[in-house]
Amino acid sequence: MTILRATDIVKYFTDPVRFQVLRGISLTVEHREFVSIIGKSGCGKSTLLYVLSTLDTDYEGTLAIADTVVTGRDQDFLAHFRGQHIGFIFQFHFLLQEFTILDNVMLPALKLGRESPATIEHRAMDLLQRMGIADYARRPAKQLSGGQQQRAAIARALINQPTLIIGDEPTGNLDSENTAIVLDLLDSICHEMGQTVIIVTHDAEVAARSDRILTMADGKIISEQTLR
Amino acid sequence: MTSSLIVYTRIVVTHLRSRRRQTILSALGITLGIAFYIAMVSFMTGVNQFLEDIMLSATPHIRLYNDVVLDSVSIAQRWFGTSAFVFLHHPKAAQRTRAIRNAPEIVGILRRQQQEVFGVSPRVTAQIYYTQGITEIPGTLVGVDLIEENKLFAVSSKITEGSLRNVLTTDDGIMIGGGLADKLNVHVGDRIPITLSSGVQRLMTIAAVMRFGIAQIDNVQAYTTLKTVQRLLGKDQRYITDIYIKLHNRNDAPRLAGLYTQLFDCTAEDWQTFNATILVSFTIRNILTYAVSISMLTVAGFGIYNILTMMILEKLKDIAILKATGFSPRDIRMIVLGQSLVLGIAGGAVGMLLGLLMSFGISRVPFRNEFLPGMEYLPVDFSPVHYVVAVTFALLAATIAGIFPARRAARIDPVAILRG
Ligand SMILES: Nc1ncnc2c1ncn2[C@@H]1O[C@H](COP(=O)(O)OP(=O)(O)O)[C@@H](O)[C@H]1O
Ligand SMILES: [Mg+2]
Repeated sequence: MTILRATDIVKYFTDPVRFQVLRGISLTVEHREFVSIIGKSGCGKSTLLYVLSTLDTDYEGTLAIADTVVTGRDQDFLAHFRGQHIGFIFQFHFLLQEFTILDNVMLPALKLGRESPATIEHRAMDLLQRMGIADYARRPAKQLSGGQQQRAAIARALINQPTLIIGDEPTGNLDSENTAIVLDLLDSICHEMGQTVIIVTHDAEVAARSDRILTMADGKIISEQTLR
Repeated sequence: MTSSLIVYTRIVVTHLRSRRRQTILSALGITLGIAFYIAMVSFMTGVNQFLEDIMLSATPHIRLYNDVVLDSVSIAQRWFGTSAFVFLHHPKAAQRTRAIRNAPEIVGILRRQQQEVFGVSPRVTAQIYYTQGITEIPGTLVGVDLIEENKLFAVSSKITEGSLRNVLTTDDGIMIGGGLADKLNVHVGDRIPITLSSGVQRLMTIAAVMRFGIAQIDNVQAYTTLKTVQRLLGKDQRYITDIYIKLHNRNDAPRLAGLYTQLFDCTAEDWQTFNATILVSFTIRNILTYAVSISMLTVAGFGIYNILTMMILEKLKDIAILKATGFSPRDIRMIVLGQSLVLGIAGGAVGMLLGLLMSFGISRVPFRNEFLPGMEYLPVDFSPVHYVVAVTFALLAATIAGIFPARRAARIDPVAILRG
């Protein structure tokens, strides 16, 4: 079953001069797949992830996720769609600094409103437990270290049990210990929880854990390597 | 929907709590705006009502009198008929008589209209001079049916010296206006010579001093019985120059005045007409109050606008994160607007309380003035209408102040911010 299908994605930046960042990218990702994207800095990986996550709508080509064409839909639709289908892990663990870790994790689910607050809180605590930061659940985010915040951000990405998890160098700012924890987690997300993962990484070790590696250069996918 | 509300509330509260000082300061703007609005409007309305009550306590709802008229058809024209051309140079206003024709019958008719008419008081006025040494002070001597006049205008409550009874029992006794009494330096029991325009002179006795708080009465008029003035003028008992009418509902006055003008051979004027200038001054005072209050609330609104704009700039990252995790532009708009409304409601609630306290404080300020009988403290109107208007204003100011920041926040492009 195909979870994501991108066809001929083309994107330009116009500032400071017009140039083509993405030069016709087509890609399909299957259910339960763990795909990693590698490539030199500045080749357009982050830009591609923002398009795939529906946050960036300024592109040419078409994008379908979970049998829904999202290209051309309005912001209100896309916001709801993201809440339901996409969990995003940013390069710099972006949490709401004044909210508690638990609130950070729960908010997307409370917004989606599919379940009762009690159920949501229960699952959030469960996820924090698995990330090893349950003890900090009631602390404001700003009191936690970078590694702890990144793990909370992963818990937030998982709270709505999304179809697709997208990560932009989720281990980029972590030490080797935290990297190992996060990788194990992503691995188990795909192979035990039945979700699909796309991450950008610089780390060859991280890429080696995935099912398929896509290599980008100059806004194109230049090679593809299936590991499993 | 309810789950959305819970989420909005949680975000609004957390964001406001993390900016406690700014939050309190901007809510304080609304608080002071509302409090001053309530205090000012309550005080102003209190003063207006007090003055209006005084004014209406001494004025009739309808006044019947014989106007000075210029006959449009001269006697010569009437004599020669329409077939002749009559040229008359400089025709003069001829008042046939100051008296109302058939006044006793009119009074009788009016007194029978008990559904609409509360009371009828016939009067005779005479222009006089009070002689004090070699100076002569002009004034008006009003002959009234004192019992009826008292029923209409609570005259006895305006008496500061002497009594109504005293006037009725003293020969040629008069009840003199307070201002006039001060000017003439007379007290109850004193005698004062008066001169009529006809040259007739007479010695009157001060039987009471009255203070209405209205200069036109207190500084000019003196009351006595109908008969006394009729006698001074050398007229009979049918001689009545004015008929004062009080109605059950003062708003009926214009309609009934029109009816009486048609019905009786005299002029009928309603209180709105002969108090037009005073009513205009009330309106202007009200406009002034509202203008000042609205400007204060506008300033408060700008305070809210400022803090929201600042908060949005500080919270760009938060807004981007919320958008990335399933919050729509509409949700963001509601959150910012919610913050604005919380400021407005909290500030407004405290402002109402403060306004009530201030109004109460004003109403305890002693204010005694011999020219304003019946006033002991500054008058304040505690009607809830002012509070309802204040809350409406607070919410309106907060909403308007929130709209632009809310729209701005909703338009923020998350990608631009999340890229760093
Ligand atoms: N908002 C922007 N405006 C103009 N150019 C941009 C913008 N964001 C990124 N770029 C450029 O686009 C290219 C791709 O950026 P990015 O997708 O972040 O690369 P990567 O994530 O692969 O390092 C880079 O050359 C970067 O400088
Ligand atoms: Mg990047």
